Amino acid sequence: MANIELNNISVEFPIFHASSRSLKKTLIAASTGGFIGRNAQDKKIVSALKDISFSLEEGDRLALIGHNGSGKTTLLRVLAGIYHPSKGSIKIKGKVTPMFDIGMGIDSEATGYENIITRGLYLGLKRKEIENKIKEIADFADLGDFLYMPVHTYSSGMNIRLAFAVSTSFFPEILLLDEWIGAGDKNFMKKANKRVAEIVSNTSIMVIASHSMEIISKWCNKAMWLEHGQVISSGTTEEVIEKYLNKAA
Amino acid sequence: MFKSVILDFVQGWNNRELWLYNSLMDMRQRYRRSLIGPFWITLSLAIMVFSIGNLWAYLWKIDMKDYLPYFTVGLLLWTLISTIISESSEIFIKSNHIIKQVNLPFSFYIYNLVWKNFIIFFHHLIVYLLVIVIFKVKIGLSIFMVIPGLFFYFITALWMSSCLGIVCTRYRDIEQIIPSLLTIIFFVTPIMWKIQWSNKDLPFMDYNPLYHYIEILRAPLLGNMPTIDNYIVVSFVTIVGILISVVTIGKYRSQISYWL
Repeated sequence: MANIELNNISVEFPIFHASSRSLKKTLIAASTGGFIGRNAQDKKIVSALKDISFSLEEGDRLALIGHNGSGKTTLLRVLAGIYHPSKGSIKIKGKVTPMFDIGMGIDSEATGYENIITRGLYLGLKRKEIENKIKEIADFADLGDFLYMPVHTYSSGMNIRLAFAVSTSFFPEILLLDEWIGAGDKNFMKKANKRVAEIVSNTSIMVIASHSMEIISKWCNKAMWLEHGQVISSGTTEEVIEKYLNKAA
Repeated sequence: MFKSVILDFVQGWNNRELWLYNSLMDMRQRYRRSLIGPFWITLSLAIMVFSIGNLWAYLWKIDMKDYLPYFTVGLLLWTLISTIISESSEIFIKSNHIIKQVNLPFSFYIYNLVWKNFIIFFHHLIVYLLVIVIFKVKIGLSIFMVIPGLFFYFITALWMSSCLGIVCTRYRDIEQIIPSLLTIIFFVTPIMWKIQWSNKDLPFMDYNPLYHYIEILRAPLLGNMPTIDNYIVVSFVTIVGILISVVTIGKYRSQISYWL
């Protein structure tokens, strides 16, 4: 049983300007007893998330909404374990698969085959599992003989199809999405949408950050509205979307 | 803290499929558009060794038969050490796009870097074999001391690149000093020259840990035995290094993604 529990999470980013990035200035600051130090030690902090708490159970699909810079991506990264919160506690049961940029780790000099393996390994699959799926992935991406050609010979459509096909070749337990993943030309889009739908309905928990109310109301049962790193409102999808649209209008 | 760092290195080890494959891909990349791949670097090393070796032997009237193998092995080891040091200073900065996308253990990046450089080092050994054959260097049973030597190199590479990686991500100006520091270290360490050439004693050489590190592999590769002193210094540096880096890693590992 997968579940997620966040208690009063806060995330603060240190902002380094040129001088606090410099070891020389830090050392001078230390040796002069902090007089010049004030300048070098002057660490500015941007608080990206403040006191976020929620818990998700098996079957929950949470949407994060809010303007750009409201903290959606940061929160996703906290859930993915990339940012350790400076305050609060986080408990996650289950394997988390972040899928923020499906093109990550694609190497244009390597062949499609090699890229499928690298990408699969980054997603946390075992080499064997990937080898077993390679044919299926290549078929889905419609690569044909290009599978053994370097990726820089691919069209941009093939590129996206490759990345998409690997990333969606398995069912993650806890899925994190930064915007809905869709890909390619019209024909592929249909196939892709079907595939994503299949995955989303098979994961235990999904958290998605999105600007599209259509997608959110179609897929999510819970929503959370963030602004300046704070929760403005959270609850069922309909409630939150209504408040959000009213405010925006 | 000790436990969490150990756990990180175990998790990184469990991710070996990925870093082994990454290193393999890196090798293939080097082969892909050129006929001899990573051997280009090997070739340029060979050219350097033979030309400088000849010049020096001529200038100082040294016996080539003795000097060239000595210089070759020293240079091969130095290349391994210095590339690991300079690459580790930018390891996290360069992996920025991956660190912000997936949660891999800290040690994953370290294993990746170290392993890749060891593979390249094994490629370079061709120059060594060539020199051994040409100059008929006598190899004895002491060659087995290569095994503990490589072990020390591997462990040291792990802790050193961990520390450097963290420090250089936080303080970006250090990365700029490293190349010049490396040049100085290269000249003050007996790689191009021999301790015996000096008619004075060089007691301070005992305090140059790099000299001992070079010695524990150079001696067995040239058919000699490293001294006990070499092993004492290397073990001491390794233990102190591990302690320092465990504290550094434990304390700052989770900050890296914030510093990028």
